[in-house]
Amino acid sequence: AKAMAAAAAAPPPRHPLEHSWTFWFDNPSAKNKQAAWGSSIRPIFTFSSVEDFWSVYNNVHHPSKLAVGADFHCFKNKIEPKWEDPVCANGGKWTVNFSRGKSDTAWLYTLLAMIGEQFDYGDEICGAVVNVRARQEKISIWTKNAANEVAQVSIGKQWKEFLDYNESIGFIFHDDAKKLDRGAKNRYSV
Amino acid sequence: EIQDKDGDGYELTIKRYSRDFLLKFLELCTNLPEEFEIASDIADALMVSSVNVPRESY
Repeated sequence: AKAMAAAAAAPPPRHPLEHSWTFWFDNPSAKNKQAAWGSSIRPIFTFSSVEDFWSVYNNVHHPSKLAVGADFHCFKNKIEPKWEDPVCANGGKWTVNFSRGKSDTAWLYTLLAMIGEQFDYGDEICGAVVNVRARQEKISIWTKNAANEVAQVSIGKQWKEFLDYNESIGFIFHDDAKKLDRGAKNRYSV
Repeated sequence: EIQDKDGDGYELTIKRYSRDFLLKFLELCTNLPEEFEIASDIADALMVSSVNVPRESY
């Protein structure tokens, strides 16, 4: 009985993740007050175990409950979710679109695939973001070396499988997005 | 628990978890980590319930 009591008291062993990950949040109410883009984005919490992931995930709003304008990120620790980050600078992103309120499951499955290291080219991944907008919710996976077509196409195809997403998705280079904004064209499609 | 994806030994060193395995922990981890802190302006926008969230002074 003593042994059982001790076992019950000890914290259960945690399941370590391959990487540490950081949640970042960009608060829409702060955006209006601050001129510089990116100035309102802030790291929320860094986790490195399955248990800590759920402990935070279960207590934050999922995309459908976030305010319009919010951006919620999950990036590998030490990589900032910005074009200027040296790891992201030569990268790009795959994006999947959902109508407002419809991305919660896809967001969760994206996070689980990343932290569970389900991508064959997981080393190429910087992180993921969900952008909540008035008419849609966009989920993007950011990657490191946009020019590495084999890696990007593999990630895009696997992501669609994980999400059971059947429509075509496109990959945009950050470089193109910087120069052309919304005019940037997909370099790869799967 | 950790998948040996290719069975070539190398993958053993990578901590891979399937979605189904990760989902088993969903309902077991409901309390925020002890070291969790958040600024109150973000807490109101992000947290499901900000009542019990420790606040950073800012």
